[in-house]
Amino acid sequence: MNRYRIPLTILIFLAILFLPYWIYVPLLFAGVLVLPFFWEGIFFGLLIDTLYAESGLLVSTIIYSFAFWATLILVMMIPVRKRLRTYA
Amino acid sequence: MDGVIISAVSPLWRTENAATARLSDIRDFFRFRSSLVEENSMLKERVAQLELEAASGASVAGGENFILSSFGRQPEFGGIMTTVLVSPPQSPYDTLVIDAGENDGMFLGSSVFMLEGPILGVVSDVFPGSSKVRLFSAPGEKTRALLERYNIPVTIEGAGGGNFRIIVPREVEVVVGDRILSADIFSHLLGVVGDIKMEPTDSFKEVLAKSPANIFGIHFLVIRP
Repeated sequence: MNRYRIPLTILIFLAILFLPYWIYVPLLFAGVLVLPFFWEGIFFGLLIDTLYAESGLLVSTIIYSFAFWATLILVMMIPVRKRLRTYA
Repeated sequence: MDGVIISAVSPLWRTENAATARLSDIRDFFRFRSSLVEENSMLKERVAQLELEAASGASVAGGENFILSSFGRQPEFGGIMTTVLVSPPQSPYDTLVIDAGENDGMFLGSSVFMLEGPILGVVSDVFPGSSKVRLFSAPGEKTRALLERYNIPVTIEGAGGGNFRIIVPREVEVVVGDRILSADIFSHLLGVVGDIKMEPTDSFKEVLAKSPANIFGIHFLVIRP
């Protein structure tokens, strides 16, 4: 599975720059779910928020940010992955 | 940091826009003649319709400008013309990234208009060479407006994707196609009523409106402070 990490990272990065959100958002969350500890997902969430959201992130609006959800899902997946039988 | 990242990425977006325009020219070269003839006649008809609308709009605008000047208000002219680097659906937040920034005389809070006149949003972030625009249709964005039919002041709430939601009392008469204008003296077109939802037991009705612009395909905008 790790051999897909770099190509997927590059693909998600290019998709964020050039493709609609309904392509790069599912790709991003697929990466977070499938790849082990895909910390790059947090970086990509921050990139989406930096490029396309207004600046001045408030505590009340952080729940709407991609970085928040990428971090949350990544953290939630840590104990789940330990309990899943994968051959990756 | 936002400005640095956007400045770094802006040349890629400009290159993408130029390449997309060139590829569409190449694609058009291979289209069949019959489809081109059909499209040509449709476009001619559309041009005639637009010329008529422009003529009727110009005469009304001329009268309005005269009234405004008579009472000490200068009609709006000019502005900064910009191209759109990024629009929905590439942006998931109903924001635009435009290619004019601080170096081009942009100010925070400037109003953003289509070339044809409707108002779309305000400038929310300004960087040296680019800016971000927050559309009035951004989710949760509340804007004061007027329902043109009886000049009723309302608050429209953005619902994303170029759509708005308005809650009005059930007695207020609203018809599909009614225009929604900005609350300022210039009364720019903000939206058009698309649907009305009301249950017989409701005290209010929900009016769904859409932006006059196709926000997924805007290329040029005018910014006025």
